[in-house]
Amino acid sequence: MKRSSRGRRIGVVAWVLGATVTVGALAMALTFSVPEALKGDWPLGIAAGEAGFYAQWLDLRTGDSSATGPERYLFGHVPGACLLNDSSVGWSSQWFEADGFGDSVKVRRLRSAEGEFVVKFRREEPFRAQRHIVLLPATLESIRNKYLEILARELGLVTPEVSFVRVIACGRDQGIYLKEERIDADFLEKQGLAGSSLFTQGHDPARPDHLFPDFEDDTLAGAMLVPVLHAAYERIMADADAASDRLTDRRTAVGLWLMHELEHGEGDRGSEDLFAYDWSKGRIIALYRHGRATGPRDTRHFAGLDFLTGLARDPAFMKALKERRLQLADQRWRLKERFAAMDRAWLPILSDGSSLAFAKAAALRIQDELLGARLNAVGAYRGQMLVRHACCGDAFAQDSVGHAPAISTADLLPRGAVLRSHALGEDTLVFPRGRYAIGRDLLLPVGTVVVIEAGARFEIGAGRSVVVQGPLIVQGTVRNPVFVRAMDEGSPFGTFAVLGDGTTSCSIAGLQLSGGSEARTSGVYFSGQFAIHGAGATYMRDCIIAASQGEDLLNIKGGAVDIAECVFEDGLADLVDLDGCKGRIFRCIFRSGRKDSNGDGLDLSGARVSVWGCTFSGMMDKGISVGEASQLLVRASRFVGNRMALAAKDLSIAYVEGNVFLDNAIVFGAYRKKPIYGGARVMRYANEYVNNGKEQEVDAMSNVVHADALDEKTLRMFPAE
Amino acid sequence: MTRRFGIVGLVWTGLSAAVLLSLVGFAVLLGPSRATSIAAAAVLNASIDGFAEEPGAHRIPVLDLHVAPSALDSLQRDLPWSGGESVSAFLIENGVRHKARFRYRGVFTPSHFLGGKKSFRLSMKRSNPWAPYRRLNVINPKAFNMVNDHMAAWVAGSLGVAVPMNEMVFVRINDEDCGVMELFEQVDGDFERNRHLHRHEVPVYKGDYPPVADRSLPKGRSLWQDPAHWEYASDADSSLAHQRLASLIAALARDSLPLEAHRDSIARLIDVDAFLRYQAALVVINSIHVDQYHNQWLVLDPRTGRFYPVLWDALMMFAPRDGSLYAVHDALEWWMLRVPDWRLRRDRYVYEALAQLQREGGFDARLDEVIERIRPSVLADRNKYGNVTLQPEDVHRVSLAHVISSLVGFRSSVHAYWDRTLARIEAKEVEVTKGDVLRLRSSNDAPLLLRWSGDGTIVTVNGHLAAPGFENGRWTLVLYRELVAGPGSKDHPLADKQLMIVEPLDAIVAFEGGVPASLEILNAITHEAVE
Repeated sequence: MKRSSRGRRIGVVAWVLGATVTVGALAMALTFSVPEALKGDWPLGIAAGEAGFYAQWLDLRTGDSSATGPERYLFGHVPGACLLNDSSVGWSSQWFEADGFGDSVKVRRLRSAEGEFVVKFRREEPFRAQRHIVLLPATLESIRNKYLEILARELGLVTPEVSFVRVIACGRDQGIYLKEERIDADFLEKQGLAGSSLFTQGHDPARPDHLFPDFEDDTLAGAMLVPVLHAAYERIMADADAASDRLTDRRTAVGLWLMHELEHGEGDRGSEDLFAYDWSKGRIIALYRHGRATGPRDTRHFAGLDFLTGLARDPAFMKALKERRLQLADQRWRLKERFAAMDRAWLPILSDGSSLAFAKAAALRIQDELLGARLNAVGAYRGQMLVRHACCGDAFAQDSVGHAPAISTADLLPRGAVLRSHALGEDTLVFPRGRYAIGRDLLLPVGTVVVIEAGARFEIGAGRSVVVQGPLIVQGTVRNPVFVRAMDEGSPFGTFAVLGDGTTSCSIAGLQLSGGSEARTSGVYFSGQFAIHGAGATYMRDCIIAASQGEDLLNIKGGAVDIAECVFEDGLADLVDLDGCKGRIFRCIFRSGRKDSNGDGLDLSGARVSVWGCTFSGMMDKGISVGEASQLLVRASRFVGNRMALAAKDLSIAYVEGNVFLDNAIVFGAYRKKPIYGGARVMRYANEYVNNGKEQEVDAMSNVVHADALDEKTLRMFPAE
Repeated sequence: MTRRFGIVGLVWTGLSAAVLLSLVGFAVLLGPSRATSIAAAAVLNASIDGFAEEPGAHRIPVLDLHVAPSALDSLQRDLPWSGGESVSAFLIENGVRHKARFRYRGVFTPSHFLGGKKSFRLSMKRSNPWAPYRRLNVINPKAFNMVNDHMAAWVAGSLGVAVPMNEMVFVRINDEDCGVMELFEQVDGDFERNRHLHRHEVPVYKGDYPPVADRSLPKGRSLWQDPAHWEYASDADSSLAHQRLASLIAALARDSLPLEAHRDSIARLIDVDAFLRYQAALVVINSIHVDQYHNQWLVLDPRTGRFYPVLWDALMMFAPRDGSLYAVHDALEWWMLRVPDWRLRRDRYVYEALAQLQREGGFDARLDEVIERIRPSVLADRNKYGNVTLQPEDVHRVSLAHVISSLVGFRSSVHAYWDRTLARIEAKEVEVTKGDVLRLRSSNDAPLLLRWSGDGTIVTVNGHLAAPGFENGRWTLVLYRELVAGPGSKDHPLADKQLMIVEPLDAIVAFEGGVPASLEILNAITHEAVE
């Protein structure tokens, strides 16, 4: 058997057969592999490009996906001035069109990622209630940002919605872009964070600009908050327990920590985070937006000590973090279902004509990364050293206060105040009958119950404030009230306030309070001379709140309210301002004798309140103003001599029945005030109208509707009278 | 074949002879050592750096700068004198073009303007890739290791000293690699605004060599001799600041007033704690690159109306010396070291810093982190220039080998210095003799803390009535050490490069009622019991 030495010619058939067998074997291997393997590493030298080629041309697998195309955003342009070719930092004007919308807008490139730009709409004509949107060229990888949005919402974080659109600009199709609303003040308001200030905070200890918050618009905020933060950092450095300071909202902080770990894994803290500072609570709320930066990330051994990273020193926080992570892991199956729904909606768009199987493979890889190894991983940041690169002298240490109680020593308390042990074991501070001169800000300890007995009289120095950080019980009566007055007539005090934790209860009877204004103290803004922030429930009886020199006579933020038989009079601006409250107001008097005031009797924002048997008289602005998606039921009340008796604004609705309207310049107003909201509605039933100037003022988006009788369903929405 | 090898051999021989001749020629002209250093650097650069193929993506920011070549030529026509005029430039960041003004900087140090990696300054609008910083220095790192200034800023920052923002960057100019450089904030009136601490500019003084007026290097001025020697570097109103600076300089003049008068005047005009931290940082980073003439900044704190310092160009381990814990950098330090309790506070800051940086490994962790970040960029940098000899003008291309060996040397010299410093601070050897009175003798540097309970408020030290303090139910008394001028030091606030040394202690402490049984004798810095 001698082998022939002649070369054997390989024919065409052999070539074709060889190629077909190879390609066929490869196609079989890819077809019967799990879908996500398409995007994986292959053995035997199969390159990613070959798998991609297969997916594009040979893969027969189909998926259940919607066939809906993406929304189109069209940017008009002047020849020679294509916005995508514009590399300058300034704004340029463009014509923008989307479904049902067309307007001239401002466009600017963003430096945070290649190809990213922001579109700014006119304040009075926002695009679907959005003032700014950000557009970023999308790839298959961009589905990660949709998943991150779902995770962030699951963790209770405020985050903009991610979607994908087709951008037509410079006269041609520019492909698919990721679209999200830019986080700004309007965005915060829509998310229920009205009155908050937006800021960024970095965590790189080597960056001096990461030492303190960078507020976007509020130029005063930084100066006011920095001393509070400085004090908090000093406490954290000195004592780990102090990290349990109330400065940072725990729920959102846990969420942001987990999002950092899910998004970056062992990545860095080099980027800056967004936060909202809630002036009404003096609390920092973490927000979330996905990272923009690409390229390698560093594992950093150090993090700058701040209100977020400092929580690592708090065992209770770390325990909460662990529990939340386990909870999230338990919900993995549900999250995967939500991710799958997003895949069906967005992958056909993101694949943009390419292989859907390949897109799915990429998406599954991302899902596995987010919900697999990273969710199971031990926290990346927990081993970091916290470094506080202090700066610029020790000036803050001299006057900073923060939320720490100012009185662990009794000598700061007014003479006569008694610390008692409460029956339930809590500390209670009792102010018996007597006179209490408050010559400096009095910030009472967190959680301490304060009881003010009948006959007690507080006299508070000019600009000074009293802040109760626990339940408040005022035990006055009509005949033997509790007084809170300015120490010097004509020199208003700041505020008499309660700063609660959302469960705090306030029971206030027989309080006569006047002569205050408003205050910013310990990083909290109190707009009322009498202010109750963060109470779970507030009951007021037989009180007279009068003569303020500030924004509000009484301001209650949040919780249930039950106010009865009270008199509110002579405020500089609004008398009673209820933000985010639910409850009722019963047989109260709202009146103004001041011609220099320009406020409302009752101002509701994001509230649901019934008003019964009250009187609103002489208000230079509105008797009742209902705004920011509030609901009001007003019955059996009198509106006398107001500029406008009742105004509904910004998606609010007012049900008005059985009232008397007498001598008002205008009876009803219904309109949109803030462009991010819609119009309003007044439902008017049988009322009595006497000698009013004008019946109604209504804009095109709002209406005043005549109806016959209130139905039961409506009545059930409000507390019983 | 023989003929061909003969020609090649001839060429090689000729080349070798040319190299040898040039080496000999330069050795004659420059001296053998200098010529060898230059040649070795060139050889290493050519032979080693090229092996670094595909070093990976940069992990430090890339500064993509564009300047018209004609403008660069104009600036380079007669360096260093021609480099000070600003020209238009722009930075590209993620496709966005940011306008900038560009100029060269560094007249006094040749490594800034010789060689292929020239230091420069950028001035930009508020919206720029490095916001909030608007004025940035981008310099050729002064040491082969590239990071000693960067690390000095980190170390000082961890002591609570105000430092400029400092980052390592990879620079590209007109699409060509320029290499790894050090970028740092130019201190000016925006110093507090950049830290989101103040809304407006604040008064800032620069203490440095006089500006260059003609083609000559001006002589340094003694900064603490005259307020006019400080340059005002802010647009904020200067009237109050100038008055305070004049008062401060007056308080530092040597006169017949007692130390306490000087101390109280100084304390009214400066943030004492900030300066003590600053002086502690200078001990820790072991540099004399901050002196009576340059590298000083003063910021007037708008909250207190007192000055605080900013650490500038400190160059960690620059001219290391090991003579004393108490080197005097300038007149202010000369006075502050004389105040015993200030000196003790300073020493405690040094001790706390070294405990964290040396004992807990903070410095190594950070240095490793920095090295890891710059590694791909250093490997990609074929444009490394530095002083290859002690002659300032010998700025030549250096190699990766220089960087690596310098980093190793930097780390080991830091650790060795800190070990020695800790040994000085933690010294516990004291000769204690107890009888009716207490006699303490020590030849180390540390002050002593006596602590006891019970009665005994009347105490004398060497016959002088002392005033013990009372803390947490116990009496305390610090026996401060006496400082005297070291050998060769003039003992004058305005003198240069002074060293103070600690006098040996020989103290007799007498307690009313005898030496308390509860008496503890501690190192006053570390609070460790003496042996």
